[in-house]
Amino acid sequence: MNFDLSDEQVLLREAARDAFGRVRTVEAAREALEGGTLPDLWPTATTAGWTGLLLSEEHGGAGLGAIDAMLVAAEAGRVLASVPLLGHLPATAILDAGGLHDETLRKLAAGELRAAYVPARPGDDVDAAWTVEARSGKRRGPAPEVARGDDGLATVNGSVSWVPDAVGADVLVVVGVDADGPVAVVVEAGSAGVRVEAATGVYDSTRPLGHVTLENAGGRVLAASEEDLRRAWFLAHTLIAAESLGAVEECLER
Amino acid sequence: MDLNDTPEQAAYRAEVRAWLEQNASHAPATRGRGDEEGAVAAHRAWQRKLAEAGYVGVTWPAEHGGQGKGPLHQVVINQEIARAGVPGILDAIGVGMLGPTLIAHGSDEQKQRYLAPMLHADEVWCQLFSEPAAGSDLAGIQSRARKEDDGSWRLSGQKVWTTNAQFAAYGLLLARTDPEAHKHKGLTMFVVPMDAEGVTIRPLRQISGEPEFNEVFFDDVRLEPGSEVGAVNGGWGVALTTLMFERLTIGAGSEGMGYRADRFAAAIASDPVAAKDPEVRARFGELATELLALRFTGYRLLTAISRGQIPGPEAGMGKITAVNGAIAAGDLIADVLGPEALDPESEWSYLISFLPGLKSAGGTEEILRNTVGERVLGLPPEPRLDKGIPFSELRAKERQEVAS
Repeated sequence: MNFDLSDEQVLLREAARDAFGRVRTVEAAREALEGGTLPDLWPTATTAGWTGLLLSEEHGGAGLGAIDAMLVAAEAGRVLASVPLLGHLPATAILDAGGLHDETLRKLAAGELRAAYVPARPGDDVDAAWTVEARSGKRRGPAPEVARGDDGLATVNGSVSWVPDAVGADVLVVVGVDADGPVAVVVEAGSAGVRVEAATGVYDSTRPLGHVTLENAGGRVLAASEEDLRRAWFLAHTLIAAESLGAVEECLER
Repeated sequence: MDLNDTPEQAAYRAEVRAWLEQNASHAPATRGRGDEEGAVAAHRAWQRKLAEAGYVGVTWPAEHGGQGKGPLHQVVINQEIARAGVPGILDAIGVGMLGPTLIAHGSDEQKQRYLAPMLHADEVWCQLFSEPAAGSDLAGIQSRARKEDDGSWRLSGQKVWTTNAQFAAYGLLLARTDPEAHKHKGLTMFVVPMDAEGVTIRPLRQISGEPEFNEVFFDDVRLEPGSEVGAVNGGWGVALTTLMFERLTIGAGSEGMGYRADRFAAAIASDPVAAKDPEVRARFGELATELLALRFTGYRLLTAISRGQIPGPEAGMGKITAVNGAIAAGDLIADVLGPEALDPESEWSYLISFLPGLKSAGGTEEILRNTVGERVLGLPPEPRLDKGIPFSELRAKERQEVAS
C-alpha cells in the first residue's frame, strides 16, 4: 500500500494546474451564467495529451489509469474548467477495450476527433436491466436497443437524456442492450438517424449536456465485455467525484 | 499511488496470516463474557503470545521491544486479526496510546521499567484523564498533586470513564500542579501505581451489562519522586500526544475494531428481503461510503506518518466518521434483524451498546468539530472567556455564578 502520488502523478497534476491556469476559466464560468461563451479547452487537452490518457500506448495513448484521469478532473473542477473529458475518457476506455483499433482510435488519441460516452447504468441484484437517464421523472429509461447485423454492424434505437459532452462530439460510444445483455456500439455523430439536441436550462453552465436520440442509427459493435461497460460507468462517476472534490478543495483553501 | 500490498507487505501479510491460522486456537472468545477474571487472564495470555511473535507494538522502536516497522504493518496486522475473527490485544490503550506517549515524553528509567511489561500484558495500563467535570474540556481537571519536600507527590481527586482500571497495574494520570497558572499551563502527567494506598476503583456498569468503565478515587496517594512524565507543569503537551494517538487508534484503527462495511453488509444480506429493500440499501450505501472513505483517509494518514509527519487535528474527523458510521450500521442492523440483534448472544448486541460510549472517547463530536473548524478550516475561534485567567480564579468565578 502506498497512498502517495507517484512523482509522475505529481507532475501530471502540476502540468494540469499550469495548463488550466493559462485560461480565465473561473471568469468564463461566471460569464457563462449570463449567456457568455465558454473558452474551448479541447486544444489544451490535446496539447497536454489528456485526450489519449486512457488509451494504451500501442494505440497512441498514454496508457494511464483512472487515478491519473481523476487528477486531471480534480484540477478542472478546481478552476471550473469546462473541458469535455467526462464524455471522452470513458468513451475511449470502452473503445480501447472493445477492439476498435483503427484510424478513428488514433485520431481520438490525438484529439483530432472527440468522443462522448452515452452511458447506461449497470443492472444490479434487484433489477438486472441496464437503464439510462430519462428526460424527466424519477423512473429511468430502458437502455437503447441494439440489433446486430452482419460484419459487426448494428442498428440502434432509443433515447438517452442529459448526456455530458454529447453536443459537438464526433463519435458516440453508446451502451445499449441486445438479447444477450449489454453491448457497446460506436456511432458517428453525423450519421443518419442520430440526433443530438443541446439541453437548455442547465444548472451548471460549465457542463454542456445533450439529449441523444437514435432512430435506426447505424454503428459498429465493440467487443467490450459487460465488465468493461460496468467499469466505464463507474469511471465516469469517479471523474465527476474528482471534479467536485477539486472544486470543494479550492473553496476550502481560498 | 498503489492500493495493493507491495511485495514486502504481501509477504508480511502472508506471514501474519499463517501465524494466526496456526495460533487462532489459543485465542479467547469475545471479550469479558462470563467469568471476568478468567477472561482477562485469557486475553492477557493472548496478547503475550502475539507479543512474543512480534505482532504487538510493531511501530514501537526496536530498543523498546517493538519492531520498528511502519504504521502500514500495523494495518496489515489489524486486517488479518479481523479476518481471522480473533480478538485484538487486551491493552490496546496502553500499547496504542500510553506507550507511545511514554516513548515520546518519558524518562529513560520510565521507558526501561514500563514498556516491556506493557507490551506483553504483564502490566496493563489505564488512562486517567477525564473527570466528572472535565471531559471534553480536559484542561479543566481538578485532581491535585502537591510536591513534598523529598520530591514525592501527594495526589487527591477523582477520575471517571476509566477503561481497564479494574485490572490495570498502572495509570497515566493528568493532575493539576499549579492552580495559579492558566488552566492549560499548570498541569503535569504522572505514572500512578493502581495498587497504591488510597486508590479506590469502582466499576461503572454500562448498558451492555459489562463494567468496562470505572470511576477511580485518589485519596492522598503518595507518588514516588520521578513519577512525572515530561516536565512539571508541562502535562498539557503530553496529554495532547496521548489524545492524538487515541483519535488515530479509533479513526484509523476502526477496521480492527470490526467497523467494516463488508461485515455489516453480510449481516444485512442474510435477510433476503432486507437485502433488496430500497430504504435499507440506501441507508447501507450511505454508511458504507463513509466507512470506505474513512478506510482510505486512514491509510493516507498512515502514509503521512510513515514519512515522519505528525497527524494534525484532522485526525479527529476520522474518529467522528468511524463512530457515527458504526452507530448508523448498528441501528440499521437492529432494524433489519429486529430485537434479536440485542440478544446478549448476538454479535451485534455488544457493538450496539458499546458505541454510545465511544462517542465521547477521544473527544466528543462537538469538541472535535470545533477543533477541525478552527485549526483545519481556519474558521473564527469560539470565544474563550477563560483566556489568561489563573485556574484558581476560574473556579472561584464559576462558584460565584452558581451561587448567584
